[in-house]
Amino acid sequence: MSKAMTVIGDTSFDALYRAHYGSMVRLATLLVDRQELAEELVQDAFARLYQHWSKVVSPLPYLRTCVVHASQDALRRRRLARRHQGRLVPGVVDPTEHLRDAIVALPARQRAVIVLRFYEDLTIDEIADSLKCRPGTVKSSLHRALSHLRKAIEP
Amino acid sequence: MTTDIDSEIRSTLRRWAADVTVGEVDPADASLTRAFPPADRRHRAPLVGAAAAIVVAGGIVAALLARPGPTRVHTTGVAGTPGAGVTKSTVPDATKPSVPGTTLGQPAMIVLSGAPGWHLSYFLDVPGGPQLRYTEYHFTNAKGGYLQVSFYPPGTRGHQSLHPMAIEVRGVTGVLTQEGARRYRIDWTELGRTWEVDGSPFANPQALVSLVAHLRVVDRATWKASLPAAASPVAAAVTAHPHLEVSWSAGSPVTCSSPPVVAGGAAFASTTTTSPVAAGRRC
Repeated sequence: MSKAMTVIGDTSFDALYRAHYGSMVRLATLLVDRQELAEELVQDAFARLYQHWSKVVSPLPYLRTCVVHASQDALRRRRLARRHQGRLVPGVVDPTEHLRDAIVALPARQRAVIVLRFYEDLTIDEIADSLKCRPGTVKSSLHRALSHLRKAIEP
Repeated sequence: MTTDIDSEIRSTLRRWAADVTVGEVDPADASLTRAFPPADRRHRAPLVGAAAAIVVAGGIVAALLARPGPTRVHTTGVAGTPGAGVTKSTVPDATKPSVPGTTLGQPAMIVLSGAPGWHLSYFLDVPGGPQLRYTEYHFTNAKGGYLQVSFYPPGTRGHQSLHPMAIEVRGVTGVLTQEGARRYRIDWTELGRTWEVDGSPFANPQALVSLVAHLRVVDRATWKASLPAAASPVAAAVTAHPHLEVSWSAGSPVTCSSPPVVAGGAAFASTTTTSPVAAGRRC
């Protein structure tokens, strides 16, 4: 994945849209669960990118940051994680599904860190840039998230 | 252990993402963004940025946000759709009541009446004062129909669309965007709030407008009586806990929790939440 992609001109925006719309929807879906909402957030992120097109040097990280922030806001506001947490069933047999439920139940920032680290394969510094926080905050969030997930999948 | 859980998380996320089916991106979707030519923005940006840095002050911005001015609606969107190819300036009437003698309460109290088969499936009310209060309803039907109705502070939505078009809705001019196949969103100002509806699947925008016409602003007693039995605690909760976020979804109990604290107080602008929402609980 290009980490510092510079595109100029309307055609390049179209190309960026076509190339990354799907991946951004998948990323947002991992963050907010509902694909319908994810598509809305991604559309808004592209609109925001378009409005700042002339000033954005690296569109893809900018777009990712917009999607992550919008997803966090949506997640906190709607508390999707908490509602899914309420659906957790003790003794779930499939550990994979259990892990997925545990990821859904994480607080918004921890969930974002997990998704950016293990799905987007970003470094700690890149995650910090995306979340607009310090690398140390990312590390502590990652540590706490992994602790929660370990507990969740323990037999 | 670390490597095990890392790889397990990685594979779980990959499988999860693979389950997400994204339809083919229509190049027209991207080209529709030309309603706002980037070339113009490139030329204007330095001047606009400098002017904004000098002129804009917090009080002025607050005043402008509190009093929504004319909404410029670019209608250079989808060919063949209402208003295509025309640029129209509208001034939605923020004070016009949809039902004479009725005002939009706290929370925004509405019912969807005279629309057979549609029922309430989700409710959310986020406090934060009259200007920041956010209320959201979801209505669904057995055919997979979905209608989300959201109430934002005035002037906070309707400007972010990729290809907005003007459309008449509930007697005022709103902003229409097509969000996907048979999915439309309309924003307009009514009773001092920004209303936003997001509906799918609808054959055309007018079908959504027709359904939206069935939304009625009601008084508290009517609203309370209209709630499904499982959601009836909502009415008491929003009164008993005016500073808590109250939500209900079909199949779940009514829950209350602390609303997010947002930097700058602009809860629905693009801001960063500074503290996590407290754990929800039954209320």
